[in-house]
Amino acid sequence: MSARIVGDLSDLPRAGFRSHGLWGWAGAGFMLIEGMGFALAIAAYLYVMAGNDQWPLSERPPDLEWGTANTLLMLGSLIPNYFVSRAARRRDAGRTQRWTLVMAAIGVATLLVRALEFPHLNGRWDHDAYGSVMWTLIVMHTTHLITDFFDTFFLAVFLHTHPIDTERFSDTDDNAGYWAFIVAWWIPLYALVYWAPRWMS
Amino acid sequence: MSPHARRYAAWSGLFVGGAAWFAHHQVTSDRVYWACTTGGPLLTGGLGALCFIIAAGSGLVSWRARSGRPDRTEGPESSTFAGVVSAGAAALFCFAILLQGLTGFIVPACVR
Repeated sequence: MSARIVGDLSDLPRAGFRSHGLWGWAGAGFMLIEGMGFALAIAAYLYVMAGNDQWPLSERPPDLEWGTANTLLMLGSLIPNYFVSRAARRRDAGRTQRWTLVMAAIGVATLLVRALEFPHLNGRWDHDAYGSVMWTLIVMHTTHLITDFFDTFFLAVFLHTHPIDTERFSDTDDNAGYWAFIVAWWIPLYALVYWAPRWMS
Repeated sequence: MSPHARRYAAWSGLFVGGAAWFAHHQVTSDRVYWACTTGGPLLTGGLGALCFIIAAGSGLVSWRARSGRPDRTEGPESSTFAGVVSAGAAALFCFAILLQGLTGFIVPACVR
């Protein structure tokens, strides 16, 4: 039995942005899975909170300062994040390299501020159910900050040491989309970790 | 093993196992991104075997530390809950490392 050629796809581009590229769909699936993880953790928090008359159970609510500072930092980072996405989609190598470095530096800053948040949570993770579920939320998000920092830093080095083709510009754009995903999930987590104990107490 | 050491040992599967999975994922994916020709069985399988042993070992430590205070089944001095959860998490991390390690055997290096 001989093979029958039904079409010639060799003229198609090897890479494309977002829905025109395989990695864009892979990233969307990745975010769907991780978003479900965040949703389940939030459901656990709400379940424990709804089952208790007092919230927090015995601790003080977390101090607002560093958590709020990090929230503002993350929201502000969406501006350079937009710039790196735009530069990548315009295939502007110089601006893509520079803004990716800026985003890597912002990743370091968010991790440093996050490190300052932990001592101000005013509750140990193994003290009671409130402490456990609160720490679960913030540790889950911190894991995403760490992985995104690694990926962005690696991408910044790669963009300065390798030729940049459409696939690499697309990767940079996908990475910007992933950072927006991390910031977007922080908003409900910030409300639960920092404000729910104040609203419920 | 002292009660203090046992308390930390009970959590090893969750944290050491998680770190082993994270290291395997990050090193292999970044290495292949940097130079796709290295994405063969030696990298994913060899490093995978090492990380699998670390994750499995940490799970075993958690499992053995779970019965530190058989007279206490709950409360801060008990390692039962932490040991069982960590051993289960380590098993999950081992499964994830196994799947990641198989990629170099299934997918040819630099395939598009």
